[in-house]
Amino acid sequence: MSDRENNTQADNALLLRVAMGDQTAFAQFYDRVSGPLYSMALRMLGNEHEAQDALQEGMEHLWRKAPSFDSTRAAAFTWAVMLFRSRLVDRVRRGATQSRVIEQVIAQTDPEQHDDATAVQALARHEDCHIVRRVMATLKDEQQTLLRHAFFTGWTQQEIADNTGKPLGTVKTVIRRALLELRDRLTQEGYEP
Amino acid sequence: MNTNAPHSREDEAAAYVFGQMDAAERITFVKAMNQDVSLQALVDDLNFTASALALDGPQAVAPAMVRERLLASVATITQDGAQRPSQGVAANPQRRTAALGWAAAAGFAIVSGVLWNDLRGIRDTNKIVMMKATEAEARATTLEKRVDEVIARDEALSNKLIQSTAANATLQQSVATAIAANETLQKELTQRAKIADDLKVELVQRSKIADGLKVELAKLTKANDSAKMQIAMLQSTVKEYKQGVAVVVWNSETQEGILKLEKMPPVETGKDYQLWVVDPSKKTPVNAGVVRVDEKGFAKVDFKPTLDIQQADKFALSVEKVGGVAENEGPIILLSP
Repeated sequence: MSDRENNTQADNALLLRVAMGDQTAFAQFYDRVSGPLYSMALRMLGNEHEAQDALQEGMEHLWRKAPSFDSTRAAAFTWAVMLFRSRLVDRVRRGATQSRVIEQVIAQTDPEQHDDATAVQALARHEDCHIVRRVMATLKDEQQTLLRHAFFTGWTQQEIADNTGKPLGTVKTVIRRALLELRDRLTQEGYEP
Repeated sequence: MNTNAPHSREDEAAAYVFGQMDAAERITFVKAMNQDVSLQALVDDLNFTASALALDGPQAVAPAMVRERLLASVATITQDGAQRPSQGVAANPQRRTAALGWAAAAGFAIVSGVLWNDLRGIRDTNKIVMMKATEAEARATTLEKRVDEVIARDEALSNKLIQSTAANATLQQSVATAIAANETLQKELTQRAKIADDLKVELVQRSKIADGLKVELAKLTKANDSAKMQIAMLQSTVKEYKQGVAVVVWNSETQEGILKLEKMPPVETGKDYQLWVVDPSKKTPVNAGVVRVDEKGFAKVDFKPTLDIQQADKFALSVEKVGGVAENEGPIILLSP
């Protein structure tokens, strides 16, 4: 079994225990996912204090929602990231940090220069991290930019079109193709559910 | 929403995954997803891919205090669908005694607050449970419809299978009947071919006999040109003598004749063939003598009737007692026209 599969199984097993109200399992699960979630919060909110607050609030939300986790439909990491992102998007839409965030979203073309060394070292899925970055770099610039807009800004497709000056149809097509290409290339690299 | 167009479907799935739909679009899409397993699988797939983007940006470590705060807080947070944890609410007994007055005074307000919060929590939980129940009900209805469809298809297929099996059995019976009829016809054809061959052989034989008789007649005619010759072919009145051939050549001047027999069956023991001449001036047929055939049924005899014949109207051959009789007693088997 690969490291990826081990990670996925470990995440799933912990989250199922969390769903049963196991706080020790929750602490372990936090240790495995908090890095990527916090990094995501930093990127989307652009403020350490707010990102920490969002991490706590988001993880509390995961704790509440854990009983609804369905391991047949998603891996625990996917479930946690997408649920947490949804909370971040709500927070972004309520807040006024958009301009700083957009700058970060677009400017971070070389993430490894900005990595916290200990963070990557501690990251249980550091190999996944390298794969995702490598594969993202193979997409066209426009695809990378629009995918990051879609994921990190919380904008609607119309808002992305308005803010980038691209036609709505182009935005939809580029995002769709980028996401499908990303999926296919990740699969080729062995990054799959 | 046009879920038939693959690109439109994927556009919508991507928008759903990134949370880019408005409420109405999201409700419509979720409804479609609940009825379409492949759409659900696509969304799961894209969710997985999108979640990988969390690893795309620079990675950072959250401060330890966030962890501490969080773990302290979850001990008091009720999970959706779970019982509220009981730990973390017990107070020190001494402080409780000291604060009894305050507690008594503030008791109503605290209890009310707790109850109010509980009530809100229960309401929230109820809303979530109701939403889930509605979703589950919608899925159950969809599944029920699919099961009904599958059962209906299964029944239709079973009926077709039964009809097809019955038709097949009928066809097999028809084929078996046709094969049997064909075999019967072939047997009959073989028998008829054999009969035809026998008839051909017989025809050849009869032709030979006729040729022989013609030669005989030619000889007799030549021998007595001036004689008044009468020729008669005797025909059978009895089935078993049908194949027999009998020709009489009668000379009324000489009162003599020749009888030639062929293919006559042998007479039973104690019997003989006997020739008769029918003369209208006589009360009974006139005896023309006994005729004996060889083992091949052949005989050629000269005969002279026992009485003078005025007019030989007919010639007849009968089966009589051995040695013959004076007057006809037995059955007439051959008679001239």
